[in-house]
Amino acid sequence: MDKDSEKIINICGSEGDLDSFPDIGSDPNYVFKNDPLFETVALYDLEGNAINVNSWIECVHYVKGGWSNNHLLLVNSEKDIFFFIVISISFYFFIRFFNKKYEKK
Amino acid sequence: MKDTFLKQKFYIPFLGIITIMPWFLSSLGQKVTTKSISIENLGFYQSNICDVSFFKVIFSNINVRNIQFIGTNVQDINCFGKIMGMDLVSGKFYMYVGTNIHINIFFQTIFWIFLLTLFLKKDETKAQRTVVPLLLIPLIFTFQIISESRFYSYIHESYNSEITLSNYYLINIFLIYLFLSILIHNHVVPRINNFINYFPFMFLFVGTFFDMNINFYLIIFCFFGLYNLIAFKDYKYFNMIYFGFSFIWIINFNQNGSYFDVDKIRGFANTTKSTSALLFWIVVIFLSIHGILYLLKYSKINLNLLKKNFLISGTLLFLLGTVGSIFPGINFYTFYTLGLNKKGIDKIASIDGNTWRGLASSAESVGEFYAFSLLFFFIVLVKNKEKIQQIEFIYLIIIFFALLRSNNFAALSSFILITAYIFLIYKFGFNRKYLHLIMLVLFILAVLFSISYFSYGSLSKGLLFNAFESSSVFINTENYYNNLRYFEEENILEILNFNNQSENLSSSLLMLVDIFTTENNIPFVPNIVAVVSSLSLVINRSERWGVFIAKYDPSISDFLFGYGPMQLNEYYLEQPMNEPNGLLLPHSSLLVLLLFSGIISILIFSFLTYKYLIKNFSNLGLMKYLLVFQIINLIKSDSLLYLSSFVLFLFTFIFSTSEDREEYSKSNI
Repeated sequence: MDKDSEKIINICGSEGDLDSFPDIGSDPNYVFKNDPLFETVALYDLEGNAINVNSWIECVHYVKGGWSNNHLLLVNSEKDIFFFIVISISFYFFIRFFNKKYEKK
Repeated sequence: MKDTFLKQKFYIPFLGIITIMPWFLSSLGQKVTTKSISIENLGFYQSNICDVSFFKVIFSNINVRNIQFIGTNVQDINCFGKIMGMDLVSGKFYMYVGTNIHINIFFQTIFWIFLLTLFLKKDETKAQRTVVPLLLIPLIFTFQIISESRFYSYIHESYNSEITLSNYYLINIFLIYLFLSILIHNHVVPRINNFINYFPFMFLFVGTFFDMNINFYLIIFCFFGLYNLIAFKDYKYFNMIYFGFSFIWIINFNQNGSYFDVDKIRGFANTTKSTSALLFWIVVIFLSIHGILYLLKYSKINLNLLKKNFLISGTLLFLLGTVGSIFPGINFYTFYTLGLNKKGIDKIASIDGNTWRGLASSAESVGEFYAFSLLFFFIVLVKNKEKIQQIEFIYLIIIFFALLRSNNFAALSSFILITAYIFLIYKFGFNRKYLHLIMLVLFILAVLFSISYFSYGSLSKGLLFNAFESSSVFINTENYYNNLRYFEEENILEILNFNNQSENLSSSLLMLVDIFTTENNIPFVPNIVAVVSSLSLVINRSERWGVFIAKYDPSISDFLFGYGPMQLNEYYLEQPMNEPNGLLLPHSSLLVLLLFSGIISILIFSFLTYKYLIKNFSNLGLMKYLLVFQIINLIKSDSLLYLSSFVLFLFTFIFSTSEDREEYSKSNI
């Protein structure tokens, strides 16, 4: 078993046959059918985008395309959000400060 | 913020713009073309993740009804408001919309505070300001994230409960709660005199943070709860009793980390069975009760304003629910913006026994709210000797229609009976004694009719039959026929030996069987189990209460003192049973009270009801009928599990049993 197959089985399970996996390629019009027996897996790409896959075929397709369930690969915006919150709160105090000054006048 | 910076007629459009702003901003700079929602484009939306904005999809597919939008938590802030995939299941499209836990709380906090600031007028307040809540509130509510780890790790992939300076997940939550506390301090405190007059809007702006298990108002109440504790030394008995109960809850608690799916009671129930989560809910409920009492104490209740707000909120609740049931985009928008516990219904047609809940998470509780609003209106009308205005007439028709659609027969019938009673006595001067005599005769006739309709056997044993039906005894057997046979042959005790499974039955079921089959019955006094069973069958609660009995397996201490506030894990998850799917709640607020704080709290509540309502009945004004209405309805509904209904009950209890004779003497005819 090569490393890629091992990764796919780890993430998506071994429900299907990888050797006869259909060539979906990059056809944007390919429709993945939901498998109610397949437990939804969340996958992430290098840019931090997330997707929930609902069938083994869909899962394999995305993992082959570089998606992973590894959280370490995530682009995590929490630090950005932190700065956004800090700036917003500072902005609030700034407005409030000048509003009070204006009211005094 | 000045009260006059915006004219009142611009409030609604302005708020509308604010609420769509985050979704609109996420649509800027979109590189791919938005496509229609169809089978042909399913692949497009499955491949182009985080590329298409939700805002544009809504406007490009305004006529598509066959779709449901589902919020999905994304780590990358750039994916907020973007489409994160689409599925087609059983002919219906499911489209995932990117949201983010921190952005959600931050945005919803600002919007709801802004809403309060716009509508609640500033007033001179005697409230003593303190900065204590500014620090304590963020600490308490950030602690929830750590204590309910099962819930928050499930909804957020990068959940991290470590207390470190590099854990931005937790720091952001703390900062947002700190900001919320500052906003309450600066903008809500100066408006507390008016807060209660606007509380009916809690049924519309439910205030549950998206994806989270906390409610905006709960934070506000806790904030003022701290004010109450610092400023007043009142409620000593309540504090002592609560402290004693808390001690017992913590001592008896068995932590196992089990997860309870809160579903429609999200924001007002514990999810994770851990000691820290129990501690959190003990503190939060304690502070919330103090906070509500504090707000009631400081509020200048304006009956006409309150009446108007009940009518407007009831009308909007129904109209927005109707629009949301037609347009899937608006359904998602209202879910997010109003902070609903559960997504509004997506069908205009009624379901399950012809109920229609609209935006509310429970048809039963919203039915009670509609009926309460109508009753409140008519009481104020009689009390103030007013006439119905044209606009009020429209509100009344809409709310009455909404009440019919909620299919809450108990709320509808109790509203009609109480309103008729009030009008006959107070408006038309009907003789009270004759009316009571007629009511007594009608009651006896109803009892006789029930006995002839259901048969005595069904009435007396229906509850136990349903309890056994839901229990684990007959699992993997032809349960219905087995169960029925034992009951028909009047051999209930034999069921306990069936398959040697009696040890799996709940302690409450065993106790009721014991009481029902005892040979020490007092002659001519009906057995208490038979009485409760008859009542349950007549009010259509036999099946639901049967499920409760099958599930409720308390120890002596749990029975006396309960499991603790908002603790449903043990009741819901730990008793094996043959149950239908879905979240089955006890369907009685008395049973909810029994679960949370035991039989002792029911006795205390009964004593308080006797002392303040029954004993004092003739001295109270017309508002006492609101409390009568609430108590009748709460026996058969579990509305106290919803924060807005809980506040409504506390408000009614305190408002209607107030000792202020001056205010109420006008109505004592």
